[in-house]
Amino acid sequence: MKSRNKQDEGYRPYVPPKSATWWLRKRSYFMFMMRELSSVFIALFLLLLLYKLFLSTKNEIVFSSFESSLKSPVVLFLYGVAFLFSLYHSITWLSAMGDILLISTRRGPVPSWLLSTCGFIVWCLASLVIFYYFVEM
Amino acid sequence: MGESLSEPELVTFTVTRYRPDFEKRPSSQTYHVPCRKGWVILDALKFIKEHLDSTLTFRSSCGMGICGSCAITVNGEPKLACSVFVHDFSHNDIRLEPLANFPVIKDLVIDMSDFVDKLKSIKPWVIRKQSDEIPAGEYLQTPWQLAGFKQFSMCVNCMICYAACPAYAHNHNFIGPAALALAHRYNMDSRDEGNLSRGILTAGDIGVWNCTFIGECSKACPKKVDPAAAIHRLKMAAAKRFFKSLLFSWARK
Repeated sequence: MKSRNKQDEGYRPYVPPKSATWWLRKRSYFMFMMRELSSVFIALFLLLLLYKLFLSTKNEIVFSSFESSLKSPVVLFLYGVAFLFSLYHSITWLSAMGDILLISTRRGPVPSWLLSTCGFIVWCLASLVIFYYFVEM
Repeated sequence: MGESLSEPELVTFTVTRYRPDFEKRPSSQTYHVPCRKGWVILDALKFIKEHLDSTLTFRSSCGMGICGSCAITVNGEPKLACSVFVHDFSHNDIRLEPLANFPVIKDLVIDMSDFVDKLKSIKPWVIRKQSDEIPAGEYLQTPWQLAGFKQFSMCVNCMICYAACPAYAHNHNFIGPAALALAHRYNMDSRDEGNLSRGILTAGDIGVWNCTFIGECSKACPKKVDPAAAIHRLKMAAAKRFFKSLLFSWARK
């Protein structure tokens, strides 16, 4: 800080200490931390998926035993948490997208609510297509 | 007229005091203020100063949400003291503190020199590669071009967004929401050509990538500037510049 006051005699500011629990002070801070934490569960889910894909190229017995182990209550709980977190992450991300994207037309910028709504529609359609594809499989 | 002459109601204010001459850390002081209907927090502070305790120190100027001087923390939320009504707080005890994340000089007065330095660093003025002669006239702008950045020019430099921003609290080197919103305002200005020179700073170590999109700056902003959106548009612009330069350098090979 290039403060000229620092040079002045008698300048004794109080610098508030940093708190490690700042994120518990407000609901919005807490929800932000949850959004950050959601990445851990989504990453775990993706690692599991990648490992499953890797095993699918190997021995069928190994693959099927791994797949049956994924039906354990612990893994199912992890899947559930990852699903809820991914929902929360997607909703906050798509809500923010409208404010971030700047698309200009001759009539001026496209309103943020319209961009977010389009994002939600595309998200729902993509989810339906993926769901249909896996159900068909 | 009836409102201003209504019976005053006694409201308790717990105000954070910091008197560096004889205190090492802040303390609290309670004042009972007879508030009339329609009073804002700043009116109560002025009453304390004039009638109860002349040593209480706070900043204020216009009293109508234009200058941004009177930003303080009211019941844990950063607010303009001139823009929040006393009667908006249902309980009878209102806690007043200085803005968070800044060094406190005295009572409710914070040291804003760090913010002022940051504001200057982003070059908040129209930059031209080559200035035209005065007889060439003013730089023209359409209403659409103005609409593209007007929202970001409404900032009153109250620093409420800095007080609300955990990213700035964590790293004081971060340029911060208001200064970055202003950088975006000038980058978007059709008369400006300083995009690249600002980009070096805004996309650098202390720039936009320190923001993790908590979004509190936009929620707290009393002028609806939406600094979070400005920061993320700056991120998009920085990413585009990076990939463009990568493509050009790859094409040259």
